[in-house]
Amino acid sequence: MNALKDEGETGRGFVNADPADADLIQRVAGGCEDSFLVLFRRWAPRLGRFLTNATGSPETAEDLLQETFIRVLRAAPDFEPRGSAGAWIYRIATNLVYSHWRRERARPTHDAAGEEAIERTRAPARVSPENTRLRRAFLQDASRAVRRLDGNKRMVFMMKVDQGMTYEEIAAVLRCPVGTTKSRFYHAIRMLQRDLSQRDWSGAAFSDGEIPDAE
Amino acid sequence: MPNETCDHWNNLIIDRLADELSESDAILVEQHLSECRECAAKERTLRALVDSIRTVEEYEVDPAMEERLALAFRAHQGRERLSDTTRRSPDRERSLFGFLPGLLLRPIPVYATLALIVGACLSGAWIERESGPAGSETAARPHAEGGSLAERGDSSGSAQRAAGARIPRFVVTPSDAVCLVGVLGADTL
Repeated sequence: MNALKDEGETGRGFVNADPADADLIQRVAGGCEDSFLVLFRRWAPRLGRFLTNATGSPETAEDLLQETFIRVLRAAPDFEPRGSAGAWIYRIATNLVYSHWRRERARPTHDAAGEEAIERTRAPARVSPENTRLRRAFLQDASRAVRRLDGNKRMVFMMKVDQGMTYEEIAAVLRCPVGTTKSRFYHAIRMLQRDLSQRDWSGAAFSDGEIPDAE
Repeated sequence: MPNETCDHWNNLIIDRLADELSESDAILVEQHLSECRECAAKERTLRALVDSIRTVEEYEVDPAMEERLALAFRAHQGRERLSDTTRRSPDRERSLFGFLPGLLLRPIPVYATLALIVGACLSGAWIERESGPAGSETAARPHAEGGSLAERGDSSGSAQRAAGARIPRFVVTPSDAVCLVGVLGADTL
């Protein structure tokens, strides 16, 4: 299953999608405002989605998105044109996400972002109260389980399942070997499976509308 | 399928989730999922997990953000230009007046500081003129010339010239010069 594959621009290979991005970054370094805005328009939707799903909060995502492009502006003169422009931009965004996650771990008093995310998660149209209760419990457990992953595993998991990146693309963004991204993904999934296996979720009403036999 | 092989299938399910499964393996996994309730439940939970983190499908970019970033870009470019102009370059180092272009771009407080220093120089020079060498010279003038101007009560210009009083002029003391060069140098170099 990969529901991400048919999502056009956000499917496979998008990190290296357009070699013109490298030219744009070089023009930004040269002081071209139009190139900066073109770069922003091109990357903001997919980065915004990534940041929203990674932080669970649209407000935080907006702040991080703006900060990402301010950092792009400052770092443009240091961009190495032979590298991937997409990986470079994503790296800036992921560094901000790592910082956000560190702050989040430092003050785990209230999971407001998780609650918001659960509220926004698509729900099937017709479900029984029991299914809804179970679904909500699942989303809370899933959110907690994802937050319990260490930063690197969580990042690979997010990039893989949310952004549909290949292992090679993730490795380029995170500057680590491809094998490392694969093993992080496997470990992340196994840890999540272990966390979620403590309860039977077969009756939960998931977003695809399938409601299997209740417990 | 016996349960002991489910670890193998679990790996394939993870590959499927990662979209890293070959077509032939995908068919085998589909077949297994239709036969094994345990693996089907695992696969379903994983799918739900992915749904749980994908809270937004499309991100709407706030149009105001583009305006804010355009402003940030202009501010950044302004700072860059300023630092480029004031950065020491080999050509400017060789030029005696290389600091002048940078001086034109100084902010207002620097001009205010300069005005204060120049004012201090001028007032220092004035005090020096009033109580400095001219006064002592007059006091030391020999009585053969009929005493000091004050003593004689003669304040006419000709009498002053006759008494040897110096023509007033502004003097910049070494400490004033050091201050002036210090401010200009620190700010422009």
